[in-house]
Amino acid sequence: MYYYRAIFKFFFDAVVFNIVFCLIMSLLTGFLWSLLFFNTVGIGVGLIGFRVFKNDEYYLYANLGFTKKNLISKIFCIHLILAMSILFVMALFKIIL
Amino acid sequence: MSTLVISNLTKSFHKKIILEDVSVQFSTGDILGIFGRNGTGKSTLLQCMFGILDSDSIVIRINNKEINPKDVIASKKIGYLPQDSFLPKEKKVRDIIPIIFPDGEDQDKIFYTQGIHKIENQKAGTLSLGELRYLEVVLLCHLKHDFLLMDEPFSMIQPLYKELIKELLYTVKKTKGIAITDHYYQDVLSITDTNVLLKDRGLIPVFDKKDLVLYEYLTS
Repeated sequence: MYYYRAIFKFFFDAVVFNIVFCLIMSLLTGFLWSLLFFNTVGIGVGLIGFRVFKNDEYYLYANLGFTKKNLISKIFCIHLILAMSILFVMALFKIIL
Repeated sequence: MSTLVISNLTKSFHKKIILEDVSVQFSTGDILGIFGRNGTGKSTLLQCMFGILDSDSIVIRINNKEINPKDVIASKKIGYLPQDSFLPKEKKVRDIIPIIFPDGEDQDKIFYTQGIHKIENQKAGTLSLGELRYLEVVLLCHLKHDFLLMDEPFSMIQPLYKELIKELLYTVKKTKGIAITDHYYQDVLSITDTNVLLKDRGLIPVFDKKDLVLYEYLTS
């Protein structure tokens, strides 16, 4: 039994704060920099946002067997996959164009 | 039968010792009541047992096997009901259940539990305090954990839901060990098998209301 719904819920809850942060950063620094922020500093911003606004929900995950450390490592893995995908798509576009 | 033994639990905050060399144990089939005045460390005790709060020292044994406090959560042997709601308020009840119970059969058990059907289309954030607390207790009781730690399950709950919660706890205690802390002492005493009072950083065994008066938890 794997709690993929729970993990993705945690990811989406945290990524909302990350996206808002990156949108603001894209206005200040441009789109490409915001992509970089999304997969680096933005992860931390997302986790801080979750901690501030949804801290009580950590107990839900704890009851499912996930520690904070465990959840954070999963978020990093998802972001790593996302970053690789974005790089792949960008490289593909460069080849086509 | 499983037995949870906590020993040598000491916890301090900024040099103020809250719990000192506390020991407690209970088994599946037991409901343990933990009483104590505000600030005596009831919630701290449960959080240390659950491993979500670091303690200065603690030994946790389940069936004589020692567990590192950092591994308690991952072991999925102990469930914890915190004082504040832990459910996502923006989600409907019917969407929360599959998050916690991926298996269809387990989901059916929840949906067919008394009182759940009428709230399944409501968002958790719109439920009354009693409905929300009842839902949380139902969800925790259906997890496979051997032990449940419940922090104030009866607080601010109307009598109808209190009775439902008591009934449920009484049913699941056949397969789980439960520790409850709550100021609604009559509700707690009505379902517990053993009781302790947290006073002066340690636990004192108590048996009835008279003992709670004797140890100055109650005035009369």
